[in-house]
Amino acid sequence: MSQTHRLPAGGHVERGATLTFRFDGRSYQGHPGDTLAAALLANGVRLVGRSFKYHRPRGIFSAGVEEPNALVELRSGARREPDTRATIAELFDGLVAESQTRQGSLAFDRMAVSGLAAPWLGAGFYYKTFMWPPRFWERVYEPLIRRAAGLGRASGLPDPDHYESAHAHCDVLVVGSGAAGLAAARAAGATGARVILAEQDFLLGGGLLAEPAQEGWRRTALDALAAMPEVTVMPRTTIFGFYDHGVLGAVERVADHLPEPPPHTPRQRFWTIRAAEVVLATGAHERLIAFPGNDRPGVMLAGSAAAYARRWAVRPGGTAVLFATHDAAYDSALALAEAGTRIAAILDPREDSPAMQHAREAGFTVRAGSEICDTIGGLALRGVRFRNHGGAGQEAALPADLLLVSGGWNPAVHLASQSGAPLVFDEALQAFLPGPPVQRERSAGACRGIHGIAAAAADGAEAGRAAAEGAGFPSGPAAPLPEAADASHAPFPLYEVRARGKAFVDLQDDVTAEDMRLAHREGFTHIEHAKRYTTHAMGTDQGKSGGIVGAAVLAEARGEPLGVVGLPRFRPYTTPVAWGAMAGEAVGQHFQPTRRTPLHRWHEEAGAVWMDAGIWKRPAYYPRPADADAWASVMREARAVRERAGICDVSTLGKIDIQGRDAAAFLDLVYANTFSTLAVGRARYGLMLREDGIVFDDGTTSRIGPQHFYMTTTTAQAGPVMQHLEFHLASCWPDLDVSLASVTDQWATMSIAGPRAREAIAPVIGGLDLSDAAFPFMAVGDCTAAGVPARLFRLSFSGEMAYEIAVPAGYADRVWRAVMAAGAAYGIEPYGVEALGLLRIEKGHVAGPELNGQTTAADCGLGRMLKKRGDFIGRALAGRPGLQDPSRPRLVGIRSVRPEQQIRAGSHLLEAGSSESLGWVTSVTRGVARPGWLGLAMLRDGEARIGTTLTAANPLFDEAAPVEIVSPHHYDPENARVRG
Amino acid sequence: MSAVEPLHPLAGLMPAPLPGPDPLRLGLPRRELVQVTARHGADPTGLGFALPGPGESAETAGITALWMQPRGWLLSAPWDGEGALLTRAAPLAPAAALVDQSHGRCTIRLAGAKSRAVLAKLCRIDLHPRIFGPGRVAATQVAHLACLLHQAEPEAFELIVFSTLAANLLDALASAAAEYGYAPG
Repeated sequence: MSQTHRLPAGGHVERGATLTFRFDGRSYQGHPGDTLAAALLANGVRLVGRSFKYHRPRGIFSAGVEEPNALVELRSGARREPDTRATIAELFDGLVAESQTRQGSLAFDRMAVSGLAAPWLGAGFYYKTFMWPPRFWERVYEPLIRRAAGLGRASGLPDPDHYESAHAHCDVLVVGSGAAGLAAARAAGATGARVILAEQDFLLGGGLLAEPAQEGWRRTALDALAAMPEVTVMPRTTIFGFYDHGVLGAVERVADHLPEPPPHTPRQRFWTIRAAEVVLATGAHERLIAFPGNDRPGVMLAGSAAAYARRWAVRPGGTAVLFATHDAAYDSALALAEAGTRIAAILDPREDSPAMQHAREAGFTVRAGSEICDTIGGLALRGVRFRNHGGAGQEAALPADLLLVSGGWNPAVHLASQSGAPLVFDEALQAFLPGPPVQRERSAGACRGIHGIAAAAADGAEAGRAAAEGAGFPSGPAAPLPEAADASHAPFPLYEVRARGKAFVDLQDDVTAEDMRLAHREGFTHIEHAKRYTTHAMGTDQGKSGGIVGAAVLAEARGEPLGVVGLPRFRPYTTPVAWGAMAGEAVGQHFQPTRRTPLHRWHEEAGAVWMDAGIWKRPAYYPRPADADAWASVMREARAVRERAGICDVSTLGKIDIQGRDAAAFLDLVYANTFSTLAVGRARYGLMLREDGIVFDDGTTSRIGPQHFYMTTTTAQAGPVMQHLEFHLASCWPDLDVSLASVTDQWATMSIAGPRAREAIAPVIGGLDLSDAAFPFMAVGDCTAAGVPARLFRLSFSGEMAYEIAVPAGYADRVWRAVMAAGAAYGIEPYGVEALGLLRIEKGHVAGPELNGQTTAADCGLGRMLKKRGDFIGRALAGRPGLQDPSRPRLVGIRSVRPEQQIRAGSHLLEAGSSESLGWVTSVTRGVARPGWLGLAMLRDGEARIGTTLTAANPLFDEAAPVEIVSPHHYDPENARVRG
Repeated sequence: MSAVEPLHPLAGLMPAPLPGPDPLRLGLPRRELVQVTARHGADPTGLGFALPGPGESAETAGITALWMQPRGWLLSAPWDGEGALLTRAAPLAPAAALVDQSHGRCTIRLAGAKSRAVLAKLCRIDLHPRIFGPGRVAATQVAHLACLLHQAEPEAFELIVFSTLAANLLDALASAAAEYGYAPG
């Protein structure tokens, strides 16, 4: 029989539709509007999980985010998500859930035996017990403990859904849509302010959903909000964090209530909300009481049981006992009685109260001055034992399958606390309330101790009005407020009933009151230390129901007031947030942007193998069918440059346009060498130091006009160099007339290198005499290329005669193809970054591996470039003794003594028989002009060691290669070839 | 000088139309762009071009000046041949450094009733009409890319982005717009 515990009428469920779902393999039915927990209770399912440490049977304890017990694995396959609270999981057709923390079936958990060992398994047990031998921890103890401990299994498969992030802005953010939140949103919205109302539930109303008498007001309020164009209502949206400057984080469960997200719909959306004013109307979580057996399936928070009866039309038990310490909880007995549950008795440690009198008049059995001291049953509650409060006299027993517990209410102060507001203990309510705000926030309703529908709504309306006024929206029409007789929520301070047995302060983490006392005895007396020692309030529920109970037990042990002991610090997240939502769309290829050169399409068509250079995609090499391997391609390309001509896309180099009266003076300051003497139409190699005297970057800068320069940087340092220039211009030399503009993307640049380079480009270039006399090495000039405006530079990185053509990026493809066509007669080949590297190593030019942020100009053999007169960035600190030390490692060349024996970059250079590193190999390649392995290295007393033989040792690969120390200029040391 | 049409950095990368409930229009208007940076101590505002204050744009004879940074603007005009805008901007040269960025930046246009909702997924600027609006400009990040965001019309935005990164922005816009649908235009 299906839904045996469903009431015939009432509630916010759609009885017209039936949803089928499975739990632990069995099929059940529910209705739209159910949570998984409500639907399980409607089908009489009481046992839903096993506890984390002791594998004790557990049932549904609450009806909301505070649930410690009913954690399930929801869905299957790649969508399986562990530790999902059944109390907030919205039911959908075909839902599949499995219970957790069991070995075998839920009813016959093989690990339940650990409950028998429970007397020895107190807080810190594992730390104290599994200490020796030390190596056993990783191999034996930890795997065993992990297997025994609870919580669900992640799917281990890629998440098939997508997530996204979004930003929202508002004048007033209202968090929570109970009586206070609805009234606040309505009052703020009426002023015309932009209002966001965020509600974690799929229905709006909070506690109003269990108040049939207030349904009219709830609906009117929702209709009013819907009619306000500047009010945005966000159901299924949890505000999980309150950060600085009015920034709050939220997660919207867009498609969690569907079997799978519809096309183009994210599973969840991660919101960053910026609010001028915030109204926190987050309500309160009901407080458990620690007594032996307070975790048995059938023990439930009183207000949650009432919610199951009234909101979900479910009768959660046949015979119930209410154990409460305040008047407001008595309404739960009424709600259950209306649902057909027999109320066996109401137990209350107090002697008298208005609610007790009303209850007696209504025919309930009330046992004043009593307390529960144990529960009876196995996998489900069968009865309770109670006694006079304080323990005097005889114990008695009552049969019951449902025990309603309320030790008071814990205002949900998490967000207020995160915003910086201090928490203040209220003696009457026995609760921590938010103190004076630090940010522009205010709490309203139960989250600041204003309990009851009418009082909370009035408080919310005032908070909404005041918040709107604070945001600059002074007035709006007042709306009617609900009327209700609010009972007192001030509890008798009973946190624990001390009797034999396990009295839990944290059901999820299996932390007992005795564990808190143990922590105190062992010196963990601060609430933060006790929390970490016992794991109290560290579960997914973060102690929403029992956190203060553990603190009260600790306070008693310390002999200090609870207000002094306090609660552990509240931090984001208020409730668990999936990693997927945090990652958002930044996964896979969207993890970071990629940068494409203007010639990307050509490289792609040419079959380039790509190399990542930062976020750039650069061609590493262009394989051909005849190439035996990657090396063959790279050597072929490099050989083409040495012997004929090659063309390489160098558009990734940073390019900066520098103009102004003081441009030359500025360059003299930022470069270690001089630029003011550079003639118009000429380029010069420049070396930039950091303030600390270490080499920062190198490149060429050309003088385009008397007050106009064009700087190039390395690919890697393009951004940092631009920042460096802007910073110094703004902060050090604000009086210089210099304008900077990044033109990296404006100009595409291609290098054509090789002995036939000039012939290859000649048919393409117009308006320039390319002869050595008219356009020598380091010349620069405006021209046309394939009919479009261009700039030509005679620069070389490869060591060959070379030209760089710069064209506005949109013409790059055209000019490249024109050069390829014109150069075909001379055997031109495109070459990639690998060949580029080979050529520069062979030539002895430094690059990133040498300019690694640790080397000086002198280390790199460039010490003579530092100008003797005039200031420049890095001059002073480059003179530090440590940087001037002549024995510092210096740039040298290395060659493998056995040419075909590989040398690896990163190898250390050692003398024979010594293990003392004299330096390290920075760059290696196989040569084309000079066959065999060769490279560059930084070597102590490098120049003096030229001509000697050392060992390049690489312990990672267990290799040792004898290398000859040579000049870094393996090729054309006279630099004749670049001049033509 | 040249009648050759340059290749658009996003040529061939416009995604195929995606039907949806409230489709956006994604456009690649061909623009010429000139970066204007005031010279030290000089004032370029009185030289025939309306150069607006922070967060604003202004138009002079079909040339839109977008505030980009302190004492810096970006001029934008429909494509009229290589270097045409630089020539038209020449009167500013005594007081400002002029740099052609027509190839270095590219413009993506996003239009439609849901354009604000799409941008809310990619950008943290408040684009509500009370705060932003037609003519307003923000130098900000969109999809983590440096971007000049210009609201051209009540329901149309133009995003000016580095050309070598533009493909990422187009991709991000299309992904964010997928729930509403999109089409070139």
